[in-house]
Amino acid sequence: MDPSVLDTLGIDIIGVMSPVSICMLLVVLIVYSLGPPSSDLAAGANPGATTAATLVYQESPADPPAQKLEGALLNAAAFVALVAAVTFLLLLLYYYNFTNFLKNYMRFSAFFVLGSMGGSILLSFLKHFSVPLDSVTCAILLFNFAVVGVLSVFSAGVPILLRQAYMVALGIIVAVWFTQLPEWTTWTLLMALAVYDLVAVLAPGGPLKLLVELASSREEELPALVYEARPNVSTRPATGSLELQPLPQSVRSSAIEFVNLEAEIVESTNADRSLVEIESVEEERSPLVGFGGGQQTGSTGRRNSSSGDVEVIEMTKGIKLGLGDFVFYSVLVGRAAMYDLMTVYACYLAIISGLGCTLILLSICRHALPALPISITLGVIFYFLTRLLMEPFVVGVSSSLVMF
Amino acid sequence: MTVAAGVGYALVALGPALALFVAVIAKKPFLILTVLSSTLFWLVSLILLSGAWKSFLPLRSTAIWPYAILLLTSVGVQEGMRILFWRLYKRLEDLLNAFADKMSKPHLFLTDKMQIALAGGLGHGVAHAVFFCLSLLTPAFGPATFYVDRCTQMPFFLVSAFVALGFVLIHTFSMVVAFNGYAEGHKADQIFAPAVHLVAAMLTMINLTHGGCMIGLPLLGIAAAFTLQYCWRMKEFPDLPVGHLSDHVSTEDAFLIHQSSKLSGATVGANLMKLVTELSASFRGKQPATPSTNKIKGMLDKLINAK
Repeated sequence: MDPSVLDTLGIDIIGVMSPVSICMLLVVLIVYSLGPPSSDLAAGANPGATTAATLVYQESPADPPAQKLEGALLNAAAFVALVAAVTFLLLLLYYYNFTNFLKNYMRFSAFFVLGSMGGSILLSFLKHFSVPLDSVTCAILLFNFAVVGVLSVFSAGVPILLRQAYMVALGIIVAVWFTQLPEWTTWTLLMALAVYDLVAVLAPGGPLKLLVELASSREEELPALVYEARPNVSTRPATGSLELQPLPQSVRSSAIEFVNLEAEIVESTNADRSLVEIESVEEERSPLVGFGGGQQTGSTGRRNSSSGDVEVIEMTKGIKLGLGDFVFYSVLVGRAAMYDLMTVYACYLAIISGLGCTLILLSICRHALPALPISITLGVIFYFLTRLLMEPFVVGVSSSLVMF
Repeated sequence: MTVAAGVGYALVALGPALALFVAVIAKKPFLILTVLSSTLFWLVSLILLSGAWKSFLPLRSTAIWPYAILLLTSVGVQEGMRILFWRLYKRLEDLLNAFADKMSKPHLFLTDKMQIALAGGLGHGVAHAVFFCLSLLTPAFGPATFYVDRCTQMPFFLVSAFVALGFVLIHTFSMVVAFNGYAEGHKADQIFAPAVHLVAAMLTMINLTHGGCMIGLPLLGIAAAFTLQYCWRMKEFPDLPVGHLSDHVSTEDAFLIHQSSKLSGATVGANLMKLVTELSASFRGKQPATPSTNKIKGMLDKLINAK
C-alpha cells in the first residue's frame, strides 16, 4: 500500500506534545507520591521561607480571601518584575557578546538545579519510601547525574535522546519546586506569567522579542535552555543516528523563533540561607512553511528513525519549546493534582489543546509566539470549571451508579 | 494488595482501549491528535451538562424520573457533540485531501477514514472511562474499599470499571458505525449510535434498584457486544487475505482485516468476540454457521500458526 498522508502528518506536533506529557505525568506522580505540599520537600516548604515568588506576602490558610488575593497579586507582580529585570540583564549581556559567560552561567544553574533541587527531591523520596542508601553512594550518584546533565545541555556530540531527557528532568525538578508555592500565589503567578509572556514576545520592545531578533540577526543559537524536538543543524553535526542536509540560506532566513519566557528564582530558605538561582530561558524556533497542519516541504532530510529507515520530507528544524513552558504547564497540572485526579485530566487536555492551537498559529503567523498564554488560560478556566461545576455533577451521578 | 486492586480496576476499564491505542492509534501521530481532540470534545460536553444541571443537584429523590431526564439530556448533548465532531471531521477531510494533492500523495484511504473514526470514538470512550471511573479510583489505592448500599455484591470501583468498559466499547465502535452512516447516508447506521448510547445509559438505571448491578452489568455487556457485532456486520466479509482494499470493500471489516494482517492484538480480540457470538448463535440453531464464521476460523488458525 502506498503511504498515505496520515502516516507522517503531525509527527512534529506529537514530538513536542509527548515530552510535555511525560513531564506533566512525572510531576503529577511525584506530587502524588510525596503527599501534600510542605510535608517532605525541604526546598520551599518550610513555613515562613521566603522565595522569589513569595517576596511580598506569605499566605496562611487562615487569611480572608481578599487578603489572600491581594497578597497573591503582589507576589505575582513582584515575581514578574524580577523575571523582566533578569531578562533585560540577559539581553544586555547577550548584546555585548558575553555569550560564553551566559552559557557557563546556564551550565552552572543546570548543575545547581540537578544537584541540589534534584537532590532534595531524591532525599524526600528516600525518606518517604524508607530506602536505605548511604550518603557516599547517594552523593556520587547525584554528582554523576548532575555532571552528565551539565555536559548534555550545551555541548555537541551528546545523543539527542539524552539531551531531551535532561531537559525534561530539569523541567520536572523546577516544576516540583514551584508546586510548593501556596495555592493563591500559584494561580495568580501563572496568569501573570502568561500575560508577561504575551507582552515580552509580541509587544514591540519586548525583551524576548529583542533577544530573538538579535540572535537571528547573528544567526546564532540562543544561549538558553530549550527543548529541541529534533537535532539542530548548527549544533549537531550528524553524530547520532540522525542526519540532516545543510539548509539552504533561504530556508534558514524563514526560520521562526520563539522566545517565551525567562525566569529567575531566588530562593532562600531559613534553614541554611543558601541562595539558589535558576535561570531558564525558553525559546521556540521552527520554520514552518506552507500548510496549516504543520507539515512542510522545507529541505528534504533523510532521517533514520528508530522504527526503521523512513524517507520523509520534513521541516529543516524541529519545533523548539522553551523549558519554562514545560515548567509552568507542569506546575499547573501539579497544582491540579493536589485537588483531584479529575482536575488533572481536565487541565492536561486543556493545556495540550492550547499547545496544539499555539503550534497551528505558529504555522500561520510564522514568527515567534508565546506558548504560555493560550494553554495557561485554558488550563486555569478548565480547572475552575471542573472543580466548581463538573466534579459535584460527576461524583453525584456516578456514585448512584448512573452513567452515560 | 489494594494497589494491585486499583491497577486491576483501571485495567478492566481501560485495557481494551489501551490495546487499541498501542496497536492502531500510536503508530500514526495524527490519530493521537484525533483521540485528544475528541476527548476534549467529550469533556466540554460534560462541563456544559454539569453547568446546566448544577442547580438541580444532588438528586435526593428516590423517584426514577429525574435520573431519566438527566440521562436523556446527557445523551442528547453528547450526540449533538458527535454530529459537531463529524462536521469538523468532514472539513478536515477536505483539507487533508487537498494537502495530499499538494504533496502528490494519494487521497485518504478508506482504512484511514475508518481509523480516524475509530480514534474519535476511542477518545469519547476514554473520556468516559477517565472521568467516570479513573478519577474516582483514587480511594481504591488506599487501605480499604467501598460498597454502595444498592449493590452489596461487589465494590463500587469494580462496578464503575465494568460500566466504563462497556461504554468504552460502545463509544468506540458506535462512532465507526455513525461515521460510516453519515458518509454513506445510511439512516439506520446514523440512528444506531444514539440509540445504543441511550439504551446503554438507560440500562445503568437498573443499578438504582437494590442489587440491580447484578442484572444491569451483564445487560450492558450485551449492549457492548451487540455494538461490536453491528460494527462488524456493516458489510459483507471480503476474501482473505487482503491485498489492496478498494472503496466498496468497506467499513470495519476491511479495517479489521487490514489490522489483523498486522497481527494486532486488539483486533484479534475483536475477531474472537465475533466468533464467539456467531458460534453461540449457530449452536442454538437460530442461525446456521455462516461463511464468515468459517472464514474467521481460518483466519484465527492462520494467526495462531503465524505466531
